[in-house]
Amino acid sequence: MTITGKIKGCLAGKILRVDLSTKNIWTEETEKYAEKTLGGRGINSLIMINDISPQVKWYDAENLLCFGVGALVGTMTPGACRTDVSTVNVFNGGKGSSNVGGFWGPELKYAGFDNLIIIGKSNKPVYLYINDSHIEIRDADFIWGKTILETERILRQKIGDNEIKIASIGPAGENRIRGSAIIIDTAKAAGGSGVGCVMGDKKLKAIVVRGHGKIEVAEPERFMKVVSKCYQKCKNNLNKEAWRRSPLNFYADPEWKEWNTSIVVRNGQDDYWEKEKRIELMNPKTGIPSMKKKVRACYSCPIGCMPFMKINNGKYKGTKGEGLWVNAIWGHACRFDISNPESIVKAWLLTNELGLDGDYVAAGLSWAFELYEKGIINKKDTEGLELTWGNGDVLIKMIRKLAYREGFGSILADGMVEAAKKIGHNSEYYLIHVKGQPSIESFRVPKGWALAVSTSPIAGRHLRGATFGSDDCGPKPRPGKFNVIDYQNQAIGVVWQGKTKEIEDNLGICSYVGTWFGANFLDIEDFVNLINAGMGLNLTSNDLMNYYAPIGRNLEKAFNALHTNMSRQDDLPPKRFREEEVKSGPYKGFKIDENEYNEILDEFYELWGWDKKTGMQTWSSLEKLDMKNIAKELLRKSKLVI
Amino acid sequence: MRIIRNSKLCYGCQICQLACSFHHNKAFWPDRSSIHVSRNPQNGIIKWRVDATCDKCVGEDEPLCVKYCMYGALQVLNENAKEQEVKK
Repeated sequence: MTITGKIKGCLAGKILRVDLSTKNIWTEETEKYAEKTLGGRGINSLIMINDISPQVKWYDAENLLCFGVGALVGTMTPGACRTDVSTVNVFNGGKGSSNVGGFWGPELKYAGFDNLIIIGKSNKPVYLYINDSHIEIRDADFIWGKTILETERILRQKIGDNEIKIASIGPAGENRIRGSAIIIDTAKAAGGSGVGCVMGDKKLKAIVVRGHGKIEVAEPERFMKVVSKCYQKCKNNLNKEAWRRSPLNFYADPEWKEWNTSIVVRNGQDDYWEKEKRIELMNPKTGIPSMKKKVRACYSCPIGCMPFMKINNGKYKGTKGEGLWVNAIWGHACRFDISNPESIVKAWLLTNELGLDGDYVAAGLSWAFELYEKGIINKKDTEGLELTWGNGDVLIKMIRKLAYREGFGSILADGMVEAAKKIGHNSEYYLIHVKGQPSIESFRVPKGWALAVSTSPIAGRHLRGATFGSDDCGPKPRPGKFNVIDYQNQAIGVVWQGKTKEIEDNLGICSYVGTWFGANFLDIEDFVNLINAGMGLNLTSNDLMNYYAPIGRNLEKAFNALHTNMSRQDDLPPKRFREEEVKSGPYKGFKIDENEYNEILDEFYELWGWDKKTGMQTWSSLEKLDMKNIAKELLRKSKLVI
Repeated sequence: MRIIRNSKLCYGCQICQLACSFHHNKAFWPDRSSIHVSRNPQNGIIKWRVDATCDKCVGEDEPLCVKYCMYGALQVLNENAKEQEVKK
């Protein structure tokens, strides 16, 4: 397949490489990577598979920490602000990746770089300073140990420029807690895969960026016409107001359908949370919505969904900060059975401030709470803390213990699977994880969600294809009969959402502005028009969906195949969801039926062009994507089906 | 023609700054824009500055910053109105 001509716009043009061991800094051209993947995550994946040998572990100096800013970021494309952070996944040794918005990515492009690739390890704390072509590795002793907010404040003051953009780690990342995040611009987290843990391991406290350059597009007038049409679509989209009030808005309705289908209660004991608790948590006058003071947008975003919170009452009164996400409800509230809204806001802001991944905190610590309930651990293990359901104060104390590796926190710090080995007593059964990474969601009810989270190449996360309501996700119209709770026709929706996410991450477009969850602000045709006018290419939607998107997915799958022993078995939902039924509510009795799940898994593999029996990639599917070199490598390791 | 601003409605997305830079440069160059939006990431407070290079987008149907503002924070006011920061 002949796809691209020469890329004529949208890219900054260079990839910045920094070796923290030797202190060498150099650049290379972006183009040769972008031709194959367009940009962003695709470039990170390509560099990782080329440069990281299979024996390299996440803690080795040879591991790369890759920041990939999407191809359309900086061009005024609606919602194009996203950066992919990729590295070896600390939970399983496979591909790690996490995606984040904010202002840092665009700034890196204005400084002249599409991607930043960090290799090596510093022997003392450092931060990286990038001011256009002026790049320095600087001493970071003065900020080591500081929280995210303190780090940002001190750096702004020291550098004397309020316009710098900062990506940093908190105490959690410094202490190499597996579920550590990299926090961008105060509150936007690249949380998954332990990317903050890798940054801490490299002793890299922060990356400060300031850019003064420009991004040019291939055909400016044509591009602006496309952009104008995209903004008009966003303006006219009826979902806009609901999404602008942030997704917390949806949960403010205690009758909203998702309350019954995607939350995990008491660490997976049930999928139903009592209505009075939902009302207490989300009461418009006294609950979480009442603490939302204002909402802000990421760079060039037409929606704006990030709330600033301030706690009005109770012992945490006065605590304030940016950020509260739906995961706080799924995770910090339902999983711990905490309906006290002040505790949830406090716990969430603290999670961010210490640089932890919210999902890891929720899924990991709620598991510890259940072990406590079952008597597998007791007060002696937890230094006197009673890990009882509904106890927000204890959750907050445990978050600190985890971030600082204190007492029982140190048992949990190296990942929950490792902790389960130390604790024993069949404790791993109660841990909801996929491929080693704790997962916050339940998917005994929504089957498309189950398929996507279980098969995600980055382990147990939903953004790589999860589908939900019948009208919300997947191709439109979706062929065949389809219902969120059934198995039929789920795979086609999951593969479609997975493909659009590949494109969105390569272009750097936020999924909220793209195809996620039925937001439907922009669609594939819009992406095609933006790419063609902006990058000077001549692509079709078929090229995006059947060439570039599968390349992205196959690069990550191949990385996993070369670096780990993952098999079809690892694409199954957690055992608990296959064995234990939902105990109450409208979906009482639901669980994953293994036979029916395996049928949709077959269908899923087939749609991606993979072998049904083993789940492995095939020669023919990789050949079509011009990935013969990788196919040969897989073949040498017996990880390919011919 | 005056361009009026309502800070309370601004979300700090900087789309106006990008649109303005396109008008001047036919490229996306926030550093070379007439409107500068600065957002304090710790408290969300937004500051705006419009410099002397603003030509109200001569040659365009309407100022691009106003056209692309998704939040209603920028509006065009008629000739007789005084330039002002509109209070909600």
